[in-house]
Amino acid sequence: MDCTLHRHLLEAYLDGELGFERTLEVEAHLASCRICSSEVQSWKDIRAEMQAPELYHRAPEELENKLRKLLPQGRTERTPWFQRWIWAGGGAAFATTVLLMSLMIMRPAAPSPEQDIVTSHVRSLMADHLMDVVSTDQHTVKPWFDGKLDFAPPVQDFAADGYPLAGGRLDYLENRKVAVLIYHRALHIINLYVWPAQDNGSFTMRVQTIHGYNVVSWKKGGFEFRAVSDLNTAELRDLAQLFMP
Amino acid sequence: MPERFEQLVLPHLDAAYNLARWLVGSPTDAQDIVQEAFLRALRFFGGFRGGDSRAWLLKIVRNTSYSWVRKNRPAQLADEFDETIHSGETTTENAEAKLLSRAESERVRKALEALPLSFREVLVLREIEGLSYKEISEVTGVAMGTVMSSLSRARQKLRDQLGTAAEREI
Repeated sequence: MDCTLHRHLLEAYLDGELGFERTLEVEAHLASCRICSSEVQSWKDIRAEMQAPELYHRAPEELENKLRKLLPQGRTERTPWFQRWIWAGGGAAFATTVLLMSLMIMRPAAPSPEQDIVTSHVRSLMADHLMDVVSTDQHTVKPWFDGKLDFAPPVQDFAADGYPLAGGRLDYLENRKVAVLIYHRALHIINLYVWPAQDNGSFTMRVQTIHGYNVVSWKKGGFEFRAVSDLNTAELRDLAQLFMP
Repeated sequence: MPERFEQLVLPHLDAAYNLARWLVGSPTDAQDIVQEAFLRALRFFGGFRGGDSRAWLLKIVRNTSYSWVRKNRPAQLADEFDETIHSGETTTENAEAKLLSRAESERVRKALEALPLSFREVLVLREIEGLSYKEISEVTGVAMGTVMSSLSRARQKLRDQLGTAAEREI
């Protein structure tokens, strides 16, 4: 029991809060210290259990609906377009609005594939199978998907906004082929999964963190999008924002 | 502004609900708390100066949850073990149960629920919600150093609760 490594250092290592050099130091120590390495392993085991989906309480749908109804009546300067319609328009406009709103309110159908997506993301980074087609040119990546999928995914390069396209890949999720676009953000890799939505509705972004990876989900123009990365949620959301001008 | 609010705040609804649910325990109370927190968030949104909207919202949810606990379950704020939840069955689990991950996470859930509020909170934010020390410090309003030490104590408590501490002697 003559380990001299400070416990806080070990925990900061576990939490990914150490700088590069300190991380290497701790890793070197772990390689030779059984006490610390079993300590780290034991906590990683508990962490894995804590991150089981059963322990994450997702908001019930009714709550989201209730909140959306509260939204426009708040103390805000601008009334959202759909409410302006209600007041301005007649019966037909009202009916359309109700339909649109119900589409907007709708959550992604079926059980959420986010968990699978994170697994797929991690696998793509581990197995050295990140890209099938390597190109920063959207006009190369888009045609590459032709004939490999039964849909044409929206492929766009956002290099000018700091999210250069790096390539594409085919993947398999929820019993169907999906397109994956790979973007870079500084040193981070973003996998963007795209597949056709069940309907034409759209919903605003949702952000989740699964096993330390951030997942931003949205639906737009008949496609489901899931962006996964170790990038922070704010920047990941910025990428999503580029898809819905 | 509601459009911006919708884009910046609403995506964190799951995070908000998850935190409230862990802090107060009941789904109905958690819903009420999240609703109240959203109304507050809407009211304060003008003062939001950009940055991490998840941490910003969670801070409001946390404060709302604490007010609720102070009012309805003041005993929970005293830092002690909740013996009513901690029934002691966690130490008798056998090797078979260990193989079942569902049983494992159930065990962890019980252990977490039995922890005092402040420990449960920091563990939920770090391990389940995946926040960094900096974000936790923003949400809970305590210094980063304090986040580290309370996280450390919380981990120790959770492990004691899980009864796995014995595995690590040499």
